[in-house]
Amino acid sequence: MDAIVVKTQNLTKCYGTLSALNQVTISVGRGEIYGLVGNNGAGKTTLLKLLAGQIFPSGGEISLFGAHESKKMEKQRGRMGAMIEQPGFYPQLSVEKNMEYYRLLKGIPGRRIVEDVLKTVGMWEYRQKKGKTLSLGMKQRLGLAIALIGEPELLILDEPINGLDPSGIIEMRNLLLKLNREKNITILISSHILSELEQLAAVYGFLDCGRLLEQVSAASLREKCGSFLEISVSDTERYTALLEKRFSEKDYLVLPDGLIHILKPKRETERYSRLAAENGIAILSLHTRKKSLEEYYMNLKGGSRND
Amino acid sequence: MINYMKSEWYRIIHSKEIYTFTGTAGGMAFLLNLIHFIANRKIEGFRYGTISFSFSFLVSGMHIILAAGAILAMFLFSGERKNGIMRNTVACGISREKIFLGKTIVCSAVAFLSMFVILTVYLGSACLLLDGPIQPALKETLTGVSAVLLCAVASVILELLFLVLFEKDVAAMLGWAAVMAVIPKILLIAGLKIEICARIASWMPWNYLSSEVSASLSGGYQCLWDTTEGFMKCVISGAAGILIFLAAGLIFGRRQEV
Repeated sequence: MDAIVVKTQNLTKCYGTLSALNQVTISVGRGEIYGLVGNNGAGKTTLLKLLAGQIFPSGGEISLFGAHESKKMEKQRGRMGAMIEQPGFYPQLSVEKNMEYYRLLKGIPGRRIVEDVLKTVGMWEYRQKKGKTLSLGMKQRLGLAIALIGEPELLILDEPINGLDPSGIIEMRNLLLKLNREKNITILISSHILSELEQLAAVYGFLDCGRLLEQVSAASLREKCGSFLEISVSDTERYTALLEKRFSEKDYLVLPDGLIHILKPKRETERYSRLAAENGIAILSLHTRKKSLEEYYMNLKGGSRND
Repeated sequence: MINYMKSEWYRIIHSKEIYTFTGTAGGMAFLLNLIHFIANRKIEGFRYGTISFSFSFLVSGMHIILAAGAILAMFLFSGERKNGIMRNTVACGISREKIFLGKTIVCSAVAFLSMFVILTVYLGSACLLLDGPIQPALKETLTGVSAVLLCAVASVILELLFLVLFEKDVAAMLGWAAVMAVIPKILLIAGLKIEICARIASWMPWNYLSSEVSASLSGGYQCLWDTTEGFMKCVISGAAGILIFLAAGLIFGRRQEV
C-alpha cells in the first residue's frame, strides 16, 4: 500500500499567457488531512481539478496512488471521491435518485449504501426532495454524499463548508475528522476560511498566485507560529526607525492600520514600551499574541514585510 | 462504460424529458390525424383525410426524424456540464472516450424507442381513423424510416459531439444545423459549378431526402429507397456519418476540459 497517495512534481497549468498554477510540488500521505490554504485565485481549485482529471496540466507530473500514466490514473480515480467547485447533481432528480445514479455509475452493488451515506451526511430525511429545491447547505451535503459513495480512500473537497450555517460547519468538521480517524480516509481540502482548516488539517500547503509558498506540517506550523508582539504607537514611522537603529529589529511587519508586529522579539516587552516613552512616542496598545494561520499565511505572502 | 450506461439509462427513465418529448411528438402526430378525421366527417368532399396523404408528411419530410433525434439528444444531455455532472463523472475515473461512447449508445437506444412509440401512434391512428388503402403507403413509410435510421443515429451523435464542444445548447444546435443542413445546401449550390461538390452534396442526407423523394396527394410515392441502390445510398451515408461523427467526438472530446 502506497504511503503517498497524491504527489505532484512541478505541476503547472497555464491558460494562454496566464499561469494559474506554477511548478507546484506537493505530497499527501495516506491518512492525512491536507489543507490547501490560499486566497481566491491562488490556484487551489486549479490544483484540485488537475488531480481529479477535469483539466489537463501544461507541465509537470501527477501521481495518484503511485500511478503516473494517464490511463492508470483514470483507474485510480475510482478510489477517490471529489467535490470541486459546486456539487454536481441533476436538479430535477430527487436526492435519493441522484445518489442511485452515482451508485450505478461507480458500479457499487446493493442499494443499502445510498441509505447509509445519506444518513452519514444527515440527508436521509430529505431524500425525496428534488435537487433544485435544496438549500445551499443541503447541496453541499449532497455533494459530500456523492463524493463519499463507494467508500473512497481519498476525498478531494473544494471549499466544502461554503454555504453551511454554523452548526453545519461544526457537523461537517466532525464528520470529516470521523471519516479520517475511523476509516483512514485521506482528505485533501481547500478553504479560504483558515480558522476552519486550522481545526482539521495535519499538513498545510500555502498557495499564492499559483505558486506553492510552503508545505508544512501542523506540528511545525505550531512551532513557527510562535508569540509575537503587537504594538500600536502614535508615530509608527519614527518608532520603526528606532526599532531598527536601537534594537537592530528587522523582522517586523507594519499592517495597513499602523499596527506593528514584531515577529521574533529579541528583548523583554517592557524594553519596547520604554523605547517609545524615552523618545516621546505614545504607546496606544501593546500585546503579546500568538500568530494565527491567517497571520502566518499573510506573513508568508509578504505583505509589507520589512525584509 | 457499462456502469456509465446503466446510470444514464436510470437517469433518463427517471426524468421527465423523454416522456415530455415522446408525449408531445406522439400527441401532435395523433392530433394531425384526428383533425383529418374530423374534417373527413364534417367537410363534404374533403380530399385530405386519407392514410396516403397523412403518411406523405413523413415520407416527403424524413428530415424530421434526423432533427427529432438531435432535439432529443439536446433535451437529454444539455444540462450535464452546467450541473457539474461531467466533472463528477470524470473524477470517478471514467474516460472521456467511454463517456462519449456510452452516451452515444444510450441516447441512440432511447431515441429509437421514442421514435418507435411516436411512429406507432402516428401510423396506428392514421390506419384507424382515416380512409383509403393502407398499402402501399405503409410499406413506403416503413421502408423510408428504416433507410434513414442510420442517418438518424449519425444525427444524434453529431448533436452529442457539439454538446461536448460547446457549453451552450444554442451553439450546439446551431453547429448541428450547420453541418446537417447548411453545409449540404452550400455544397449543392457550389455543385452547379464544381463537379466534385455536386457529387459530395448528392450523398448528404439533407439533400437527397429533399430532392430524391416525392409524395403526391393521389398516393403516388417516388422514393429513393424504392430501389436497392437508393436504399443502400441512405444506409452507406448514414454509416459514414456515424463513423465520422463518432471519430470526431472521440478525438475532440479526449482533451476537453470540464
